[in-house]
Amino acid sequence: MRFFRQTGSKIKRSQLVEFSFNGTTYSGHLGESVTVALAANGIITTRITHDGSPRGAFCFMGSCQECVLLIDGLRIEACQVALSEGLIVQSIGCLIAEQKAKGDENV
Amino acid sequence: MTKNYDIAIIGGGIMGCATALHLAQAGMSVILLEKDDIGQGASGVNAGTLSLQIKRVKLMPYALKGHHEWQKMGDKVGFVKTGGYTLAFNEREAKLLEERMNLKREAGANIEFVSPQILHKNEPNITKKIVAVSYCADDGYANSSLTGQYYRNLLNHSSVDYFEQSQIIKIDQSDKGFNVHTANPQYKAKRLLLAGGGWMKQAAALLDIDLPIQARVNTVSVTERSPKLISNVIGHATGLLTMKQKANGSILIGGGWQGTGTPNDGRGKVHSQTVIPNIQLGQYALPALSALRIIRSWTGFEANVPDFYPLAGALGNVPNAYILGCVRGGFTIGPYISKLMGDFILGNELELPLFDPNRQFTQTGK
Amino acid sequence: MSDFDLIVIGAGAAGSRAAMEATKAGAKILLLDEQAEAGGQVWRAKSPSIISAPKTPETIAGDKLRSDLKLENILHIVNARVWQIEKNNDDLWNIGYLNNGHLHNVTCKAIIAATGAQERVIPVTGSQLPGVIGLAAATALFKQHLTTPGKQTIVAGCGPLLIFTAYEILRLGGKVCAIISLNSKTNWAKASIDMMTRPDLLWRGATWFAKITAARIPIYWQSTVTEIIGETHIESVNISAIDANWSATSHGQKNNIKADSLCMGHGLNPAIEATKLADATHIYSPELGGWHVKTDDFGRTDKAGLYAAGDNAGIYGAGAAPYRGKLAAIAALQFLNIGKTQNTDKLVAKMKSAAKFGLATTKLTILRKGMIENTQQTAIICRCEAVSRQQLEAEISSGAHSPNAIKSGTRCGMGPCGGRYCNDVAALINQTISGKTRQQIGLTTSRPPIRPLPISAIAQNFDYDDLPIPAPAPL
Ligand SMILES: Cc1cc2nc3c(=O)[nH]c(=O)nc-3n(C[C@H](O)[C@@H](O)[C@H](O)COP(=O)(O)OP(=O)(O)OC[C@H]3O[C@@H](n4cnc5c(N)ncnc54)[C@H](O)[C@@H]3O)c2cc1C
Ligand SMILES: Cc1cc2nc3c(=O)[nH]c(=O)nc-3n(C[C@H](O)[C@H](O)[C@H](O)COP(=O)(O)OP(=O)(O)OC[C@H]3O[C@@H](n4cnc5c(N)ncnc54)[C@H](O)[C@@H]3O)c2cc1C
Ligand code: FES
Repeated sequence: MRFFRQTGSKIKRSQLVEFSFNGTTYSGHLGESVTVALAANGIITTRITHDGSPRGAFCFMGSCQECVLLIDGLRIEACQVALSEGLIVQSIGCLIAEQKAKGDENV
Repeated sequence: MTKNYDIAIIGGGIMGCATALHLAQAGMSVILLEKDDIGQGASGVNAGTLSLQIKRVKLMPYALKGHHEWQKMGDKVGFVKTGGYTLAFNEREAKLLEERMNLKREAGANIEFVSPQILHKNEPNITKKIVAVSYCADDGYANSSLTGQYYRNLLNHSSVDYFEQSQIIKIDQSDKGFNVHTANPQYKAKRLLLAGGGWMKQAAALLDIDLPIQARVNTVSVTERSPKLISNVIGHATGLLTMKQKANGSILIGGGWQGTGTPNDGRGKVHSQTVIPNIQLGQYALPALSALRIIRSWTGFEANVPDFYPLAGALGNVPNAYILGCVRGGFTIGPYISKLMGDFILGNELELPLFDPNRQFTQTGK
Repeated sequence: MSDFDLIVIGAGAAGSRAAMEATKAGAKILLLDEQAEAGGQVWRAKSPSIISAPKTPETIAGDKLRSDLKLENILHIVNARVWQIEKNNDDLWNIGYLNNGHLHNVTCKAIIAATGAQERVIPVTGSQLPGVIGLAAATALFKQHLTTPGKQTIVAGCGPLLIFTAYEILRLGGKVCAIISLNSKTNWAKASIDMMTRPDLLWRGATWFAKITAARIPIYWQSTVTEIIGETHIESVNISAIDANWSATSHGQKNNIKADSLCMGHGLNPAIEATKLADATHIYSPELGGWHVKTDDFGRTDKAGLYAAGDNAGIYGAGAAPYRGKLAAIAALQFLNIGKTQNTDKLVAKMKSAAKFGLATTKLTILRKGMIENTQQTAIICRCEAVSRQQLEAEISSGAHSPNAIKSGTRCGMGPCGGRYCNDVAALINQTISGKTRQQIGLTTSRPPIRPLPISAIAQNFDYDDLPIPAPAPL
């Protein structure tokens, strides 16, 4: 499942730019929110809670914190960040997995 | 006819609750009255550090015993013995660290000086700008948020009658004992223990006693959950930083930086001008904090007298009235000193001496 | 000396008008908003990725507001998140905000808090799954991105945003598989009578219904979503008819509907973090969206120099918001002794008349007492910390009564959103056990930061030797 950018005849969008999410390259429209860029690419799970359940963007106004990702190294609500060329986006869970892979059991 | 309790305890913090349980176990009929909720004063909002390295020299024996109590309380209060490092970032602090930790070691704490290499081996994320480090394997923390839940459950299973949202606003004394008034019901008791925490000055005033008590407004901040960054409790030579990563991944930053407000008007306020340098100091010690966000800062009231030693004993001019509070590091020491207080009220022999509330108070140097 | 006479927090319908009014009168003002452009929720601007799109009443009003702000030369800082509000020793307000990764601190004599509202969603099992978003959230997604949340969307909840959301999905070219409405047709008919004050808006609502009917979207009146099914994301939704108290009845019609997305919302709550932090008195009124800061018609709170305008002072709606902003500005100017007194009777009357429409729509969203019965024991109440109803009930039953105590024991509300989405529901659950009123139950203690604060911004360019480290603790 994914979000759909609607394409009515009168709707004109900005150019496509590339960004990465957890190491994979995707494209999205310059200036759209990172949440929308991800969801339009089929990535609607933004985080996995400590008890293992998946979550996605919920409020789209920067307040529920469900869409917080590491964007260029900083934790920020992805729904509040405008997409630009070359953004490096990572999920926090991915970071924890990396640490576990390195053998750290305490994460 | 209203029940005449053996003792009425004012204040449902760690001191009031732990004393109440001890007395009830010994057979006294106890009523405990709390103006807000059990364990939502200092006991429920503190930084939870159980560190011998930040305890006062003279209180060390009490802190050591306190540690044993926490160990027994265990998982239910989120107790973890992690070990703790105290850091010095320059020569001045290194000297301070050496002076202080030596005295604390002499007082019985298992503190050693270690090399920065050892620190970095165990805590690779701590800054490299280290001049000196001390270590104590006995240090750890507990989760103060669970204080209320923990004591409420114990109280529920004890003979103590406890009432929340019951502020004591007046106390009458007679030969027979005390009449304590809340806005609505009154309660009778033969003895009285004031355990009012940061509100102790106001509580003592109900007995016309004026104690030179001041309330400090300590600040604590917490980050969101994070992958593991530190394993030990981290402190600073001055005692003005405590930092730990809790089991859930969040990092707690404290150290006694002062907010604003007084116990008479609400819960105190976080002050930008102190919380910011507090967090900066934390980030200086642990640069990787920069990747995280503070999700909440808060304050709590902690009472002290000019010499910064506890008030723990009988109130001289009011027969059968006792006081327990103003304990620096009172979260660590609370469960133990409350038992001592209970023993004192019961007339039992004391394992360690208490702190006469009728003493002359002298200002401590620092 | 303060940096500003007046700081307005929030550049929505209310805050922007307040800022313009105060500037016109000659006050030195600062307008702060965390969004990239003014407009707030109702007039949210399109993202820069949309180069052109059909105009809507919202975009027209929003564009007008944004150009007015520019014309008036308002000092408006965008992407400015207020995290802290304190009174300092000189009786001035200190406001801390984050702007593009930097912290700033400014002082002022008066504040107008115009922070708007946030969504209320009463959870059921599965409502935390990806693909489930708020109703108001959906409108933000449409306005900003002209994007729909899936291929097959169910729209559920109450009030006007339900119909607006369904209509918008259709307008944008998406597909709505069903509308699940708590409100009955009769509720709507009654509300329409109260909405006569704004025939234009009522007419607009009628066109939404017309479009939905023409598209043959099934509408389940007096029904609710009882469960959301899916492993990693929503796959289908169980719905059920409800009784007059909005409790899903045991004998009512039940259905399972497949969908890949659900927009669900149950009205709005005033966004009160700022006014709470500033220590103003708050009251609970269901007809105004629940807890809101207490004000008079001029937005005066019980704190000197603190004013509130717009939905954070009660959900009176978008129509009333600009008037409320203007009135708050007038009161603040009076406090500041700036400009001349004016006759405000007409303005108050206009505000009250505009509020009628908003109140009628809010009324459709007042939760009935059976609603909370639909929340299962396993439903996640606190999304951040994954706390279920069961955990909350156990804590409350063991004697934790106040919101602070319940929070401490369960972690409900201790996560990064600060309890914004669970406090209200936790209190509803508390009510079912304690029998207390919401006013008696009260609120948790308000603490900064109002939004999570990056430590990268706090710990920027400081010199260790300049840290004001106090004297060491006594030895
Ligand atoms: C997501 C959402 C969508 C909505 N959509 C509609 C709709 O389509 N139609 C309708 O009639 N009503 C809608 N509403 C209702 C809305 O509340 C309107 O009635 C109207 O926007 C209220 O105007 P306002 O000025 O009071 O608040 P808003 O327009 O919400 O403005 C408040 C502003 O304050 C800012 N703000 C809040 N906190 C801070 C902070 N700490 N720091 C800096 N800035 C801050 C916000 O960014 C926002 O721009 C919606 C509400 C929500 C929550
Ligand atoms: C922010 C902060 C951080 C701290 N960090 C640490 C730490 O890391 N390690 C450590 O060891 N110690 C720490 N401390 C100290 C420790 O928390 C306290 O010493 C200890 O909790 C005090 O317990 P208490 O029972 O005396 O007080 P409290 O927990 O404050 O309890 C007193 C109770 O009395 C009630 N009360 C007062 N007056 C009345 C009345 N008239 N009627 C009814 N009820 C009344 C109050 O509501 C309150 O609940 C910290 C303190 C604070 C504030
Ligand atoms: S979706 Fe709620 S903060 Fe981004």
